[in-house]
Amino acid sequence: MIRGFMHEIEQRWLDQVKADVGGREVDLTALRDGIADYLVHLADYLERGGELEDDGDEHEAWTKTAREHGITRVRLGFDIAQLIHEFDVLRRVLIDTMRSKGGIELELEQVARISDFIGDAIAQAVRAYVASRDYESRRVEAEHIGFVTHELRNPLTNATMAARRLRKHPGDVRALEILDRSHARLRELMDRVLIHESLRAGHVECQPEETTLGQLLEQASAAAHEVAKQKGLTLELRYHPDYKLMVDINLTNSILQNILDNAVKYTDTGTVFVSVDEGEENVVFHVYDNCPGVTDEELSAVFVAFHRGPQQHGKEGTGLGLAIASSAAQAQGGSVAAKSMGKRGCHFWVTLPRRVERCVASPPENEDARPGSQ
Amino acid sequence: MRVLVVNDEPDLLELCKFVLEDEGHTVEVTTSGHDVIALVHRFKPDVVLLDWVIPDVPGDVVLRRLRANGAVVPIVMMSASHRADEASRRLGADAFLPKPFTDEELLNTLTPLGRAAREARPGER
Repeated sequence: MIRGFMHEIEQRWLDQVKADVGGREVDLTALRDGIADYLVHLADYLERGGELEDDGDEHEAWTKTAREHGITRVRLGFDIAQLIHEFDVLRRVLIDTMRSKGGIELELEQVARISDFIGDAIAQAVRAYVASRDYESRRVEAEHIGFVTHELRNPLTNATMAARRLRKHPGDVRALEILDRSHARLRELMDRVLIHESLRAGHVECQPEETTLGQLLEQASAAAHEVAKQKGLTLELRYHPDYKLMVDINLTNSILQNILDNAVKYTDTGTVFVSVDEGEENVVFHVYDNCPGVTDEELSAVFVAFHRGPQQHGKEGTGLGLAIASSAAQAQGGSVAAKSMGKRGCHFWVTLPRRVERCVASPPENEDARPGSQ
Repeated sequence: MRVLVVNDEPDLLELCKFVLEDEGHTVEVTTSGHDVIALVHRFKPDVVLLDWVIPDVPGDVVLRRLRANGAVVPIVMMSASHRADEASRRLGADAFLPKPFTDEELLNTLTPLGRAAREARPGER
C-alpha cells in the first residue's frame, strides 16, 4: 500500500525534520539514517497485517533499525523530545501522503496499526538513545577527570619536592617560594574547575553593579601584563577609562582575564592589542593576539571545556579558561567569539550588554548544537 | 655523575638541581628542546632526564633525534601521562619517571643508569 510512495514520504519527512533543525548544518546522510529501511519494514508489516509480537526475525530487524536511529540522534545532538517528534512527523507525513498523493483514506484500523508500529519504534529508539547518552556522558566525565588529574600532577611534583627540600634545609627561601607557587597553581586549577561546574549547572552568582572600563580592565589585565613583560611582549590597551557600564564585576573580570591570559599565553613575539567599542547598548572588547595561524574550525573548539588544541601542545593550562569566559558572558546575556586572521594571529571579541539587567542561567553544554536552537 | 635535565618549567629544573647537587652530582639544565643535542655533545652527561612535553620541540622528537644522532646516553623520560611510558620506551628511552615524583624516586631512577653509563666509559671510573 505504501510502497509506491516511499520516496515521497521519505523526502517530505526529511524536509520537515530539516526545517525543525533550523539553519544548522547537519549531515543529511546521518539525518536520513535508517528511515528508508524503516519504511520498508513498515510496508512489510502492514502487508502481512501482523501483530508486533508475532513477527520474530522481522521484529528483531526493525527494532535494530530503530535502536540505531536513537544512537545516531545522540551523536547529532538531538534531545529526547526531538527524537519522539521525528517519529511523529513520520506518522503524520505517511498518512498525509497516502491521502494527498495516493487518494487513499486509511481506515481506522490501519492508522492504529501504523501508530502501534511507530510507537514501538519510539520505545526502542528512546531506550537506545538513553543508554548511548549515559555511556557518552560517563565517557566524557572520565575524560574530564583524567584531564584535571593530569594537570594537577605538575604542580604536585613541585610541591612534593619543595616540601622535601624544606624538611632537609629549613629556611630555604627558594624552596618556600616554589612551594607557594605550586599551591597557588593547585588552587587556581581547582577554582577553575569549580567555577566551570557552577556556570555549567546554571548556579550563577550574578549581581550587576555600576563600574567603569578603567576599573575592570586594570584588574583583569594585571596578570597578562606580568606575563607579557616576562615574555618580552607588548600588551597595548586602548579604551576610555571613564566609560560607565553595569555588569557583574566578578564574572566580567573572569571573562576578560581569561581572554587576555589566553592571548598572551599563545603569543610568543610582538604585540597583543586590545580595543573597546563603547556603544550605547553594548560594549565589545576586541583582543588581537599574534599567535601563529589557527584555523576557524580549531578556534570554534576552543570554547569547549577541557579542549586542548594543537596550539596548546606544551602549554600549561586547564583547557577551561575560554569555556569559563564564554559561559560567564552568556550568563550576562553576552557572548564570546573568535576568528582566525591567518598568520597575523587571532581575533577574540567579547560582547556584553552595557547595562546587564539580570543574569540568565547558563545553558547546558552543547545546547547550541541542538536542532531548533539558535 | 653528570645529569642533563630538560624541562620547560624553571621551578622543576631548580628542584631537580637542588636534589641532585645535594648528592654531589653535576647538573646542567635547559628549558629548550633545541639545545639538547648540542648540550649532550658538550656536557657529556651520564644520564639525561627529559620531559615529554616541551613547547619548542616535544620530548619524543628530541628523544628520536638523539637516538638518530647515535647518542647512547641513558635517557629517562618524565611525564604526567602514564601513556607516555610505553611510547617513550618504544622510541629508545631507558626508563620512565611518572609525575608526581619524590626526590627519592628521582634519585633511584637516575643513579643506577648514570652509574652504569659512567662505569662503561673507559677511564671514567
